[in-house]
This record gives sequence, structure tokens and C-alpha cells, in this order.
Amino acid sequence: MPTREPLPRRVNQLLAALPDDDYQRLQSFLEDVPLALKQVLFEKQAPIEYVYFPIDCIISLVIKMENGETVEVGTVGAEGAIGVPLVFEGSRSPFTAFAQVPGRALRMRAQDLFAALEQNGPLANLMRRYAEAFLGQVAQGGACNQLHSVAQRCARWLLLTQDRLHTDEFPLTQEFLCQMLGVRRATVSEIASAFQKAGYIRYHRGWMTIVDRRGLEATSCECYRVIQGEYQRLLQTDWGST
Amino acid sequence: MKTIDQPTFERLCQDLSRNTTVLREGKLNAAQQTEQLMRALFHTVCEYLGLDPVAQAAELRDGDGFALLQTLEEHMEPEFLYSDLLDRYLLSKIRP
Repeated sequence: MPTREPLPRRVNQLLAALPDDDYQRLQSFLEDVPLALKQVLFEKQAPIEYVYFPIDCIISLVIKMENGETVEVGTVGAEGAIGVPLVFEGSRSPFTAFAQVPGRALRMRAQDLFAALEQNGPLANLMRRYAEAFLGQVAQGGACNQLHSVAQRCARWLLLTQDRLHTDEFPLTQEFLCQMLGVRRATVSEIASAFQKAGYIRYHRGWMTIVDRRGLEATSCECYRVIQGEYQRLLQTDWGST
Repeated sequence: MKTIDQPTFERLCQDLSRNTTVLREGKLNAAQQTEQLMRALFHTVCEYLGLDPVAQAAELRDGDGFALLQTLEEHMEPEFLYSDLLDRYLLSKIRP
């Protein structure tokens, strides 16, 4: 087997949680790939050809309606993986997945993942626990969308995004925030304006700056804490504790 | 300030989809194809709006991808779902 540069395993928390021997066996099946802004990893109902382990990018999972409107159902960064249906031997995604923040990821062909999962070792165990946490996030998000205000949901989304990016400032278009929250532009403008007035954020020409994280935490609903807590419980990670 | 509407943006996306070699050559990976298409479309949109793409990208402090999206945010009239058109005509045609 040809010698390969060590892959940046430690920054993806699922791969980092694998025992060294298991990771060594897996490494020859992993490919380090760049992901550009808006790059589509797979479309809804299209075959999932690869599972992706984000390193420093953020992937959005969205549902597209027939009229072109789009709503986010999940966000995945270095704490997780894209391609959860493969864990249940599924081959198609109920979501469209695209890069919300560009960066890099390690990817593995679906058939190689299936072979690795069949061995029922630490990777299978980890992927099952991750799938449970991810489903929890999607379920909590669905309930949150029904029951909580747009301001609460917006605060939750900003906190989760900051947790994954480990930075206070990131580019964010209004259309994207509309998709993430499933609301119209006027509503997003009102919320952004209210958050700016309260001193929680600055938002100018598409650049979002988190100024007062505690203020956002106080505004967010319980769902931020619940989602963060579930990942920590199931994966023993601290990805949300910035 | 010159503005851009949905039919115009749709036409620019269709023209690029028809004329670009990026989607047919198969030489680039998916990230490079996405970046090239976003860059080409950013330049086309800037040309339509009478903006200097280099100055515009510098003002918006990020790569051509974000610069394209933010330029549309600031110049579209009336508002339309530009991401849907981007996906439909360009990004969904890129193989992983």
C-alpha cells in the first residue's frame, strides 16, 4: 500500500473518538477533499455515494419545496458526519446536503462504510450513537419550529453555528438565514435589527458578528441546551462549550 | 443603483450552463467546478450591474462565492429565490 500523508483525523470528533488501530484500518479508505461554498454533496432522493466527515466546513441539510422555498432541518460540522441514512443501510437521502461554510472534509465511499459497519466494531458503535444524536437534533428542531418564536430559533441557530465555527464573525446572507429559519426576509430583518439593538450581534453587508453570546443564550429556547446536551451525552464531546 | 430581476438572473444562469466547459470537461473536482461556476457567474452579474468584480469582492471581504450571493442580496429587485435558480441551472449538475 502506498505511503500516505496522515489525514487530519483529530479535528473530526467522530474519527478522533476511534481507537488508533481502528482509525489506521480506516485511513486507506478516507479521502481528504475540499468543499466549496454552496457545493452540493447530494440532492434529496439521490443516491448517497460518500459519507463525509467535516473538518472545518459546515454542511446544511435542507428540504426543498416544489416552489423553490427551502428549509434547513440540520447542520453538521466537525462533530459529526453527513450520510446518516447509510448507517441504517439506506442508500438515498431525505435531504439535500450542501456546504454552508466552505472548507475540507474526509470522505469515504458508501460501500466501504457498509463493509466497515458490518464488522460491528467501534466505528459501527460510534456511527449508531451519532445517528441517534443527529435524529435527536432533527426531532428537537421540528418541535422547536412549531413551538418557539423566530427570535428564539434565530438565537439557537446562531449559537450552534458559532459553536461549530469557533469564531465570532462569519458571512451569512439574509436568504440563507431565511432558509435556516423558514421565514420571510422581512421577519429576518426585524429579528436582526432587534438583536443589534440589544447588543447581541452586529450585522453588516452579510457579515454576522456575535457580540454578546450570553445575551443570545438568554434569548434562545431550551432547544439549544437540549441538542448540545444530547451530543455530549452520546458522543462524550464538548463541541458546544465555546 | 442598477438592479437585477429574476428573469435576468435566470437567463444569466442558463447562458453560463450552456456555454461553460466546466461541467463537461471532467478535469476538475466538485469543489473546483463549484468555485469556477460561482466565479464566472459573479463576473457576469457584476458586468450586468456595471460593477468592478475585483473591487466588489474586496469590499465584501470574502471569495467570489459569497461575493456573488451578497451582490444579489444588495441588487435584486424585486426579491427572488436566487439559491434555487443557482441549484437548478448550475450546482445540481456537478457530480460529487
